[in-house]
Formats: sequence, structure tokens, C-alpha cells
Amino acid sequence: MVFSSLEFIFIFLPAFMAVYALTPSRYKNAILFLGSIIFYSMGVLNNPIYIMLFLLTILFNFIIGEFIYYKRRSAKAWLTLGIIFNFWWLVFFKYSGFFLTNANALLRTHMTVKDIILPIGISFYTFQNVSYIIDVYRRKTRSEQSLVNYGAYISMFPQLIAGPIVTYGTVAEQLKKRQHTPRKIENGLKTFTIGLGYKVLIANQLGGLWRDVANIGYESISSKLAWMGIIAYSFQLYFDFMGYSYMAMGLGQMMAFDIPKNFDYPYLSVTMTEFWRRWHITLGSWFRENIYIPLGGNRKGTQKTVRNFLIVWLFTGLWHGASWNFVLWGLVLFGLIMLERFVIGDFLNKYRIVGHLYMFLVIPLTWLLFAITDFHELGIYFRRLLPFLPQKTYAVMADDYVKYWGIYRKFFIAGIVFSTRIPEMIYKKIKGSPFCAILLLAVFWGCVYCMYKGMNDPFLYFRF
Amino acid sequence: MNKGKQYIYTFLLLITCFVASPFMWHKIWKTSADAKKEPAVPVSANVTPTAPAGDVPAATEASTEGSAQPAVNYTAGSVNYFDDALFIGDSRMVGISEYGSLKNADYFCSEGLQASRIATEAVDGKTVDDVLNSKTYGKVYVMLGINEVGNDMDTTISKYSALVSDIKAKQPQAIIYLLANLHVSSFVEDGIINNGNIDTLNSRIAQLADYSTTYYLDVNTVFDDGYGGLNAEYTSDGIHPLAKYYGEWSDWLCANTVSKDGQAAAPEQAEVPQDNAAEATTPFAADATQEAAAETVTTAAANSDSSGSNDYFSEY
Repeated sequence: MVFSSLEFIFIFLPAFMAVYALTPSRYKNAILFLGSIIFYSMGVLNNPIYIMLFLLTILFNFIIGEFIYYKRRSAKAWLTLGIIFNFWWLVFFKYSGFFLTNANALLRTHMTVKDIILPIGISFYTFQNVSYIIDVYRRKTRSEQSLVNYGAYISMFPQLIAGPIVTYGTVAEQLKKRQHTPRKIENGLKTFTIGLGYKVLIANQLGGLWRDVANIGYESISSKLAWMGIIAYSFQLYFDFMGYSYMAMGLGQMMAFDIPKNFDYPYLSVTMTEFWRRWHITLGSWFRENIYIPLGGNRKGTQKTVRNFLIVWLFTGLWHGASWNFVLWGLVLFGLIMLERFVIGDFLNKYRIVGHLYMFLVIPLTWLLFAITDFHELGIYFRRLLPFLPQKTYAVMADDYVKYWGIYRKFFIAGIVFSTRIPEMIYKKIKGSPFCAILLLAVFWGCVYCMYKGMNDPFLYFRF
Repeated sequence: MNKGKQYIYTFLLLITCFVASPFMWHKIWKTSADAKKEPAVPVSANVTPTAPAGDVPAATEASTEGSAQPAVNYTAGSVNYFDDALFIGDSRMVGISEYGSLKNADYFCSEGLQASRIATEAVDGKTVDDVLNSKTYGKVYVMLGINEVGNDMDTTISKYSALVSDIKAKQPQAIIYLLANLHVSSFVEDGIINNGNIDTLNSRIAQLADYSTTYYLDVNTVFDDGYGGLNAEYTSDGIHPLAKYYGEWSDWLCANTVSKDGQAAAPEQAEVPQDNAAEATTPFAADATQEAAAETVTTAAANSDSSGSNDYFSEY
């Protein structure tokens, strides 16, 4: 079930919130756990066994956490077992197809595996479970003593399907005790509405242009339209994911949880390094805490530092998708970040205009690697962006970009404006006012209208 | 009162949602009911329309002569044939207007155009009647139906044939070509948009052809995959051919023309052999396989979303 759907907003959410609100405090976590499992099952109706798997991983990690905490001597063994168990499922579901395809290519075999459908949220909940047992091992936190609380933590539906990757430490206290207030509900609903607006009114609309470009065919678009297309994609990805993160925050707020921010104006960055501290913040933190730092971070000399970055970026790429274009994407990001670290970073930070221009080029170009899985198609599109390169085109319509600019202009402008801090500054000033309430109400119903008419788009990050 | 003002958004939201919920629930229920409809089995591509007496709507003025499609001697025309042509259609027709090779013709087309709404629909400020009254056309091509294939077929056909009558009245000298709706790829078929329904609609449209002033043309043989659906290699979204294939479509239209007094004597296939030749020499036959492999994230995502409601398809 997607947050930006009529089913969620008019059936699941009201029903859940009603039950949750009426439940006495000490059973609220249980209701959250139960409700989240129901939410999860709506997404895996065709594969009910995935619910069992999900519950199994919760139980298993809960037990491992307790063992690690209480059995100090064998803690490392339990940790190792836990990590292998968690990653085994992720690798099996997400990467076995990829491995087989490559093995077939290398060994000239034709092994096939039945189409494996990815259990939804597995990339997120796996990382959450692993970060929990690692944190217990490192004594950053004690283990959770209540299975219901642990279950509620892992499964809580605001962040189950698409993050943020909430660490246990962030919510440990809140699991035990949190204060529900009408103020939090009011703020939560506002935050949710803002996220919904980002997704439905900006992301889904600009996604239409990217879809139009694909329908025309990459060989038949002009260069200007090609640039428009990839910039539209860049906006779509941002507002889609950020919108979803805001909706998660808002829903969490309604239940008195403080779900962390996942985005901090990434498109205002002047370097790729800065970008990845502002984009999908919880993922960057996860890699930093659980891979980069344990490997030594930047404290073991330049060579080891570079090696550590390489490992982190390879895995970051792979986490996003099980195909080579994602690996290439990760490697390109690694290259840029190293380039910035050792050569141009200081310059870009000092002369921010140059930094912004640099990012204006680099962001869409790197998203291109992310967006197109097939390398042949990638090559075609890349050449379309650089029309001075030799290439063949077919049936390009003259002035096609004029048509599409006319249709999508207002969404591009919205995308640019909402990538800056201006809207937030205005929002802070008007937040409590009736005007703000009316505005948000208009946003909400505008979104519902779009969803009603069927102009909907499943969340891009859903294959995780 | 002060305290109430703090929670004004919650109040407004709850009240408006409360009022709207029955409509939303109805929509949700209807959408899931539509999604559960069984897709109709596609009839094979070269269906000859039969006309069981009861099905033919009484309102058609273009009466059918017999139940089988008579053989027509289509000749190959040049692009100039379309100097006095008018094309009326939906988003696929838009594709022909933008990416085809018949730019000399006039076009009255837009995404989402439907026969049942064409009387009131305006394109670039003009209605179809404005266009039909504006000049003399030697031929008028019509392709409509995909955007209403889930609606009641009798209503659709009666509106469609009303359009045909309108064209005949305003352009009595024109040859009218009724174009079959292009199939969709199997990966997008659902309970409403599926090739079975498209074929049924097309066969009803075919019955409106009298083969003296009105003809029925079916381009599906050019783009089909052998199973009655649009070949997945020619499309990204399963509904519109890629831009580069509108040239082929234009060529095929050139190859299937009727001269004003031309009438069938010798039976001949509706597709002239040079279609197949055009297909074989097309420079992108090899590339077509690569096209199919190109799955952008959003395309895949879009395909997996099927709300199934009629309004959803107003973009075609």
C-alpha cells in the first residue's frame, strides 16, 4: 500500500489512528506492531510467505540482540550469525538474479531461477536489524527487552517501506514512553500533507515528462528535450523520495515518534561530498557508522581511506539496485568524491557559484546512470545530451521541447522553488495561521483529486 | 477559541474527509472491482467482422452491405495524396501528426479524444465541426475508441457513427477511412483495456464501412506480435508506438489508399507487399530489441499501477 493512495488515506490511516488513539498507552506499541503487519501484508498479498519471513527476522534479531547483550563472551559469534542471517535473505532475494545472469555470461551456462519477487522493504528492514545488533554489540545501547517493542520499532509502517532508516537508539526512549498530544497530531498532519504534495503535485507530474520521453524513444528526442527529461527525472526522484520521507515523519509525529529528517536541501550542495550528507541522510549514516568507521575511516592513511570510500560507494550503488548501471553509478560517485577530496573540493567550496554550476551538470548526469538500466539505451541518451557527439537519430520532431516546456513549465518552476529554502522560511512564518491551514487543505485536496483521477505513480524507491 | 485555533488544520481536514469519504470509498471499491475483471481473450489479428443482425445499431446511416469485408483494390499513393486529407483521432493520431511523414495533412487530434465527446471537444480553439466546415477535404481519416473501450459499446458506436454521418454531410465528396484502434501490448492489459475489447470495438467500427465512400483499415497487422497484441519491441508503455515507427505507419497509410472512383474488381490483400519490404529494410529492426530491454524505473513503475478506471486513460 502506498501512502499516496486513496486506500491508505481514507481507509487504513483513519481506521488505524482511531484504534491507536483509543488504545491505552501500554498497548499502543502492540497496536502499532499489529497495524504495521497488516499494512505490510497489503503489500505482499501475492506472497503471504513474506510476512512470515518478516516476522521471523524480527524475532531472530530480537533474540540475537538479547544474546549479544547478556552473553558477553560469545557476543561476537552471535553478531556474526545475526549479520549473516540478515544479509543472506537480502542477497538471496535481491541479488541472486544478478549473480546468475553474470555467472551465465562468464561461464556460458543457462542457469535460470524462477522470477524472485523482492519482499517489499527488505533493503530497509535488513539495514535496520543489522544496525541494531551492531549497536548492541558496541554497547551503544542495551538490547530491547520487549519483543512487542522491538517489533513495533522494526515494522512501524511510516518507515517500513521506504525509510528513513531509523536507528534503534533514536527511538529507544520513545518506545518506552512518549507523550501523545493534539499538537503533535496537528503538526504531523501538516508534515504529512506537505510530503504528499511534494510527491503527487511535483514528483508524479514531472515523472510524466520522463515517461513521455521514454514513450517517444531516446533516439527520437532533441537534445534540449533530452536535458529537460533528465532534469525532470532528477526532480521526480528528489520530490518522490523526499515527499515520502516527509510523510513518514508526519505519520511518526502523529504517534509521538521523532522520525529523523532524511533530506536537507541536497540540490543546494556545491559538491557531491556535501550532496551525500544531505540526500538520504540515514543511508549515508548507516554506511558511515557500520562500514566506513569500522574499516578505519580516514584514520589509517590515504590508501586505506580511499579503499574505504571505494567499498562504501560500491555497496551504496548495489544497495540501490541489482544491476551494473548501479555499480557504475556508485563508482562514478566515488570518483567524483575522491576528485573533490584531493583536488577540487576546496575550490568549489570557496567559489560557490562554480560549485553550483558543477552540481547543475553533475547531478542530472549521475542520475542518468541511475535511471537507465540498459547500457545501450544509456549510451543513446548520453549522446543525445551531447549533440556534438556522433550519433544516429530517428524522426526527431522539431521544437519538441517547446511542446513539453509548455506542458511542464509550471512543475519545473515548482521544482526549482521547492528545492530552495524559500518555502520553508515562508512556512515557518505562517505556520500557526488559519491561512496556512487553508493552504495545506488546498494542497491535500489537490493531491486527492490527482489520485482520484488516477494520475498516480508507485514510489520509485519501492523495489527495495 | 484560542485553543481551537491551534488545531484548525486537524479540524478542517477531519471534517472535509468525513464528508468526502463515501465518494472515496465508492471510488476505491469501483477501482478494485474493475481491476478484477477478466481481460477478454484477444481475437486473432485478421478478424473479418461479422454482423449478427441484432448487434448492428439502428442509428447507423452507413449501412453495411453483407457480413464479410469485401476485397478492395487499395493502391499505393504518394504523400501528395494527403494534401487534402483530414485526420481525426486521439493520442496515437497525435503521434502520427508529430512523428509521421504526412505533415501536409490537417489534424484534429488530442490525447484522450473520444467519439462520445468529440462534438463538444475543442482542439486549438476549434471544434470538429469548425474544422469540417472550414475547407473541402478529399479524404477524412478517423481513429477513435481506445479511450472509451471500457464504456458501453452501443453508446460509443452510436456516437461514432453520428460523427461519420456528420463528416458525410459536411464533406460529401470525401472518402472516409475508419482506422482500427491499435492494439496494446499484453503487459499492460487489464480488465478494461485489453485486446479482446479493442477487437470487439474495431469489428463494430468495421461494420460502419460501406466500401463505396467509407472504408475500414486495420494497421494492426504491421505492429502485432503474433498473439494479437502490440509488439512490445515497438513501444515503451505498451500503448503508443515509439516515435520512429510513425514513419512506418505513414508509409502504410500511403500504401492503402482508394482513388475517388476506384473500386474492387480483383481481390487483393489489404496490406500491399511493400509493407513487409519496408519492415525488413527498416534500419531499426535490430535496435527494436534493445528498445524493449530499456526499462526505466518509472516505466516499470507506471506499468505496475493499474487503477483500471475509465478516466485513467484520458491521456491517450
